[in-house]
Parts: sequence; structure tokens; C-alpha cells
Amino acid sequence: MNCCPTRLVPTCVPHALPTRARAVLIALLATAHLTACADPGSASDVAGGTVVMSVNADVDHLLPALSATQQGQVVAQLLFDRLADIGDNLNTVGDQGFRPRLARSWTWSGDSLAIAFAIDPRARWHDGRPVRSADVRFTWQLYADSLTGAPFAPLLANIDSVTERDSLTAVFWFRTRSPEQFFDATYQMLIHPEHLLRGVPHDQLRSAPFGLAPVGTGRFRFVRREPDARLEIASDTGNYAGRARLDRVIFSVTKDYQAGVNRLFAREVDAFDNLRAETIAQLGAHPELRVVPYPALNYAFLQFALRDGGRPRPHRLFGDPALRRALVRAIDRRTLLRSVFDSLATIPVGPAPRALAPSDSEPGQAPFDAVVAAQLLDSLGWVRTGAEGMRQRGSVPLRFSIMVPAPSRNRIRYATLMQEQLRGAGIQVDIETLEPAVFSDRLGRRAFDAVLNSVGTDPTPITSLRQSWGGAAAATRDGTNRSSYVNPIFDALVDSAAAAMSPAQARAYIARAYRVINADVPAIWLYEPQQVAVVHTRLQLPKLRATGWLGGLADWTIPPAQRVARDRVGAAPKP
Amino acid sequence: MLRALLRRGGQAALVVGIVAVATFTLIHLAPGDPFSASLDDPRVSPEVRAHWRTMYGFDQPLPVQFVRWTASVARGELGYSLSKNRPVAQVVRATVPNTMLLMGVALALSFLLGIGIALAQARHPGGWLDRLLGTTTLATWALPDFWLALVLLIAFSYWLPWFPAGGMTDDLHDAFPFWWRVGDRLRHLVLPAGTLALLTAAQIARHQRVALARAFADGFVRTARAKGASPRRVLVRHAWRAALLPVITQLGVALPGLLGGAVFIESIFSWPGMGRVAIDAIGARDYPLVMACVLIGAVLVAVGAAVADILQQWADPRLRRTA
Repeated sequence: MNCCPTRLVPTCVPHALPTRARAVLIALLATAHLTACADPGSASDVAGGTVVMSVNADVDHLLPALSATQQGQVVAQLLFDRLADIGDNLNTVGDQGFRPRLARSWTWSGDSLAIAFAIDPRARWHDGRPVRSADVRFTWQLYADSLTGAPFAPLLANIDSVTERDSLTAVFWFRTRSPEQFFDATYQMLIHPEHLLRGVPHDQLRSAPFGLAPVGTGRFRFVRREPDARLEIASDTGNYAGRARLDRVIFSVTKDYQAGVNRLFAREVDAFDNLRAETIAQLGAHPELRVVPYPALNYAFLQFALRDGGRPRPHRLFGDPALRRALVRAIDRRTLLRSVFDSLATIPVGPAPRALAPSDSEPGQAPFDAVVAAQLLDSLGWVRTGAEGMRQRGSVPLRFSIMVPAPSRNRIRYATLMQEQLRGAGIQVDIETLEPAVFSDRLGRRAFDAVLNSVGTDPTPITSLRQSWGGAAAATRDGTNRSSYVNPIFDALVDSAAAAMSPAQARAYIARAYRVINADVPAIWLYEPQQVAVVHTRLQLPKLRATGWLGGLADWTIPPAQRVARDRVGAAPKP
Repeated sequence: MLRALLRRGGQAALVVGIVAVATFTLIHLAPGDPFSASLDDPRVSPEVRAHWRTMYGFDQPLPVQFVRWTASVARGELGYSLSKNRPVAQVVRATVPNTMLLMGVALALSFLLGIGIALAQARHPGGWLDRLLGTTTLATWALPDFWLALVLLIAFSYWLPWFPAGGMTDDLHDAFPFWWRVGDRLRHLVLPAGTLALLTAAQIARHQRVALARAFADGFVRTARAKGASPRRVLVRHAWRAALLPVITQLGVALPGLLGGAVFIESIFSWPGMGRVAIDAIGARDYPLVMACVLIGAVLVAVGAAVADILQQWADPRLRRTA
């Protein structure tokens, strides 16, 4: 999927907007369509320029192994390299589509339990030292050591060890054969410099000076950071993969959304991510800006507690699958989507974004049908009573609460609209809007009836399916399957998908797993948003990818004729 | 005087101690912990979270954690910030000067403006200027700080793009010559410091105006007039000096008010100060950083109140005798 699919322009226009704003938006999107995919290799390809990006959060840590936030990982991936990069098709089975990065080639062992990566001999750290296989071995040891506290270390559990065959060949040894061995070895680890970190005890890495001035191999190098204010990176002009085409990029931290928008409109920043639909209409007054829609790997859902606070006994309402099946019929997801996002989102067909769905024809959950919903509820004994016609069974009312995090405007709007829809079906819903820490705490303790949850995934759906919906993650109290959903058939199908050696076979198993979970309805899939960024028109962007819109930042260009004052400041000197 | 100072210092220490205990207990009793945010990421396993909790001692009982924290503070260590991934002392060193700069400028501006407004009002009591300024200051005092900040932001950085919308300096600040950098800093100060100053100035002007009205009714002002002093001299040399006492008291009161205001103002104007850090730390349940922010705030308020007391006693000999 790329930033300018042919049907994007007509479908991305919010119908809920006023006519004039809509016309403006059509024009903006059309411009985005025509200009956002400029060929970075065209005549305008001259290095130089400065881009200031407004970001709503500072990086958490500049040592990639310790970074757990999105912003931290974005910057880490600009400063450091993987052995290989995932392809545009986001395939995670085998090595199909993967592109060489630090490793210029790789060789599988006969039994597929080892992969030897040949390091590109041209690769250098930003301090000039060559990259060696010892760096790769050291990186794996660093991630795997529990003293380091690397957040995603469990994702590397299938790697048994990493050895050095010679100074430029690192060999990964795996515990079991798995279709995602290559993905595990490359996607989850950014290579760290052994010569700068080997003397630091792993439990003290968090406070090591390296985290203040990291040295990587990426096409950008670190320049400086003012915590909570800005972070500056500059082109590594002698990089083995070619210099970044921009001279410098400054991530300017503006936490408040409106303050960030004001800075964008005041031309203090050149790029802004996660623009809300209601702000897009204001872009008509700013011809110097254009929108850049791009896909993302997030999806949101109404998640039910199937057990009572995580205890073994079933939830008083949602322990009954028939009630959940009635609810999926009672919620008009298309109307909700149009009201909140218009066409800037789609309805997921299962527990993963559509970019990772097994096929385009996957049917998804049962469609909205108010009559069928009423019949199902009646048949379960939930009948309308009283003047307001709310349903109850015996003396028990059909009433539950939906938990939403306070900062998420979209989820609050969704909850409010669902409350109204369900009231029409005779179901009383209370909305609990909670501060993020309280929301996460209640979610972790599974202390809710229903929650409007949102999850970002890796390019592989397997991890997310297991962690969010797998039986093993439901069994432990601190597990991440918050619904406590357990279905051995679903688990077996996901395991089969994880073991399938061809992408087609894996997709077939995942499609079957989708059908199982969609019939069980532990959640109602609501939306996966289309992300919208705004950039200054002088910026030319390559194709954007679902794994992150800044992944191709090193290939952004600014044609010399369109440069403004800040583009001419020049590259930052090497420290 | 020394005994009074010692007594005031003891009271301030007690206040700070009570605030520390109360904050430590309340923040730990609030739902969530520093690793709550990672609960939303299914890739972070429960084992990793449990390991983190052990690493930082959050698996220990609350009294043990409090004793450890008190002991480290006694050694001059404020702990390690889990959300900023730096020692708390570094975070404090980086942000407190920014807040002090903002508050210092706002405080100076607000006193100058507030006293100036009150003096202008007092020159012609009951006149149109007195009534206009009285109504304006009352209306300004009633405005919520975040609302005024947003209005000024939209007016003077968006409609009239005179001042930057946020930050403490331009993103390319270091690349420019010295005087440009000085001007850049001043331009970035105008809106946040101006917002805080406007709100506090309105309060000071109201108090100063009332104190001046009382002073004008006193006998010594009548005597000064009878001796033929000019109206300006009567106002500035006689009435105003006597009316300064409530404004000095305002200094102690204004400090916590400004600190509270800085929390919102820093967020709206992306000012990298302690107020914004405190808000972030509370949201992230970054216990060591929350405690440091509260401690510093409590110390500033206690010191502000003590300084105001001492200044009052210095200015008014009657208070010295009763102290």
C-alpha cells in the first residue's frame, strides 16, 4: 500500500464537512495525490534544506534497545540500521521482499536453523569505525539480557545465539524452524556499536552517556537534543547507503495539539502528523501546505470482558456469547465511521488492520441489523420494560459501562454515538472517561465491562493475535489478552499460521482464525484510521509506508528553487 | 530577628515535610504506575514489566519505598526519572531555570504594571480612568489563565503573526548571531510572560488601589496636603509608601499563584519548564519526578511566604515589635 492509491482522492473527503471546506479539501487531496509521490531521483534531486517537524512527544530513550515509544523508535530507525529492511508488501514469512541494509547478503543453512549475514564492508559508524559482526553479536546479547530491560526482548525468544564466523559475517542460530525467523532477526533489532557500549554494565545502560549522544550507522547522524524541546539530526554525508538528501531535520516538541497546529499555520514548522479531520478544512487558507494521507498499522475495537474482572467466573453479561452476537448486530459501524472519520478510516475485517488482512474479500463481522438484534435480545430474555423501553431480564437491567481514555477525542465520540445507538436498542450504556494511567491500570486489571481499545501492531499479525487474543495471554493475570478470550481452535489456527512456510498458507490459516474469532465476538471491530500528515509544499516525499511515514525521511527532498531562509542555514557541523 | 528567622525556617521545613509525605502517599495510591503506558503495547510482555518493577523497587511495600526515597533525598539524590530516562536532578537543572526566568519576568512585569495601574487610578479617584481601569482589572482577574493564553496565542501569533506560537527559542536559534538570539529569546517570552503578568497585575492593581484609598483617608496624607506638597508628591512619597505593605504581602501570595499558572502556560506555549514537566510526570506516574517537582514547589512557596513576612517586618516596625 502506498501514499497515493488511485481511489484515495475521491474517498478521503469527509462528507460531514461544509461544502466549501469539502471543495478545499478535494483540491488539497488532489494536489497531495499529484505531488506527494515525486520521484526522489528526478532532476530536483539536489541535497540540502532543513525540515522542522512538530511532534507531540519527545523521544523516551536514544538507545534503540531501550526505546518503547513510537517517537523513540522513529528517531532510532533514522540513526541506526537493521541488517535488512522489510519490503513494501510487509511480508514477514521467509526473506521474500526484504532489502539489504547493514547486511549486503545472507545465506540460510541447510536445515534452516541458521542464517549467516554478510556485513556490508563499506558500513561505518558515525564516529568512523567500521561495522563488524561483533557489533551484531553484541546487539543480540544486549537485547536478550534481562538486566537490560529491553521492552521487546521476548520477541527475540526464538534466537538461540549469534556468533561471528569472521569479522564481517554474523550467524544467527535459531531454537526452532519458524517462517518468521528472518523477520525476528532483522526487524526487531537495530545494530548497536560494541566498541562504545561493551564496558557499560547492562543494568546501567539506561543512564549511560551513549544515550545522550548516540552513534549509529543510519543516513542521519545525531546532532543535539534539548529534552522536551527539540532534537536535531543531520545528514551523514559519507554514509555507505548514500547521504540523506536533507541537510538537517529538527523534531520540535509541541505537546498540545492546538499549539502544534498554530505553529504549523504560523510557518514555524514544516510538517505535522496526525491532523484531525476538523482541522483539515482550515488548510484552505494555507496554500503553502498540503496533506499527505498514509496508511498505518492501528485498529480500534469495542472489547468485552468475558470474565468477571479476570476471575474464572463469566462476566455477568458478556460471558454469554449470544448476547455479544446480538450486540454486533445492534451497532451500526458504518454510520459511526462516517460520523467520526467520514472516509478517513475503514472498518477492520478482523483483529488486525486491513494491510495485514488475509485477503481483500474477507467478510468481517456480522453486519448491522436492528431487527435481528432485537429478535436475538428478545430470545435471550432481555425484553423491553418500563416507559423508556430499556431491556431487562427478570430484575437485571441490560446495562454496562464503556471505558475510554480521556485524551482520545475519537474514542470519546465513538462511545457517545454508540451509547445513543444502543439506547435505541433498549440497552443502557454508561461512559467512563478516564485519565490514561487510570485507563491503563483498569485495563491491566481487567476491571471493566467493555472498553474502547486501540492497538498498534507489527507488520506480522501473529504477535498481536497471540498477545491480544491468544489463550496463553488470557491465562495469566498480567497477560495482555484483556477480554480473557479463550478458544483453542483460534489458538491452533494462529499457531498453524505461525508455522506455515508459505505466505499463502499462512494467510489461509489466519483467514480461518478470523472467522472463528468473528463468530465468537470477544470484541466489535470498529475502525482503522487513515493517518493524515501535513507538509510544506516545497517538500517532495517518496512513497510512504504503513510501517511509519518517516521511514523514507532520508529521501525527502527540497528543490533548490523552492528553498526558504531556514533551508540555507547549512548543514550542522560534526560534533 | 534571628529567632524570628529560625522560627519561620522551622515552619517552612515542617510545611515542606507534610507536603512531601502527603504527595508521596497520594501519588502512590493513585491507580497506575510508571509502567502503565506499556500495558497498551501487546509487544511488552508481563515478564518485562515485572522485571522493570523489581529493577526500580516498585515491588516493595510503600513504607519501604518512602524510607528509601527519604534517605536518597537526605543524601542529595532526587532519584531517576522513569519517563525522562535521566536523573531527576538533571531534569530539574534543565527546567527550573526556564520556569524561574518565565516567573521572574512575569512577576516583575506584573508588579510594575499592577502598581502603575493603581497609581493611575488613584490620581483621580472616581474619575473615568479609575472606573475604566477598575472594571478592566476586575474582568482580567476573572479570566481563566488557559483561556487568556489561548486568546493571546491566536491573536498575536496566528491572526497577527508578531510573536512565536511556542517554545523558548527558535529551532535554529544557535545558527544565528548573538543579538538575533537575544531578540529571539525576548520574542518567545512576550506571550507566556505577558499572559502570566496580565493576570497577576490585575490582582495586584486591585489590592494596591484599595490600599491607596485607605492611605488617602489617613491623617498623614491630610497633613502632607496641608503642608503644601504637590498631588504627585503626596501620592508617590506619602500615600504609596504607606500602601506598599499589602503589595509586599502579595509577593508571597503571587508566587504559588504564578507557579500554578505556569503549569498551564508552559503547556500551551510549549515552554520547557517545571510546570510542564510536573504535568507530564503526574500523567506518567513518574514518582521520583513528581516528588521533586512538589518539593521544589513547596520550598519556593515556603521561601516566598517567609521572604514576604520578613519584608513586611522590615517595612513596618509595628510588626517587628509583635513578632
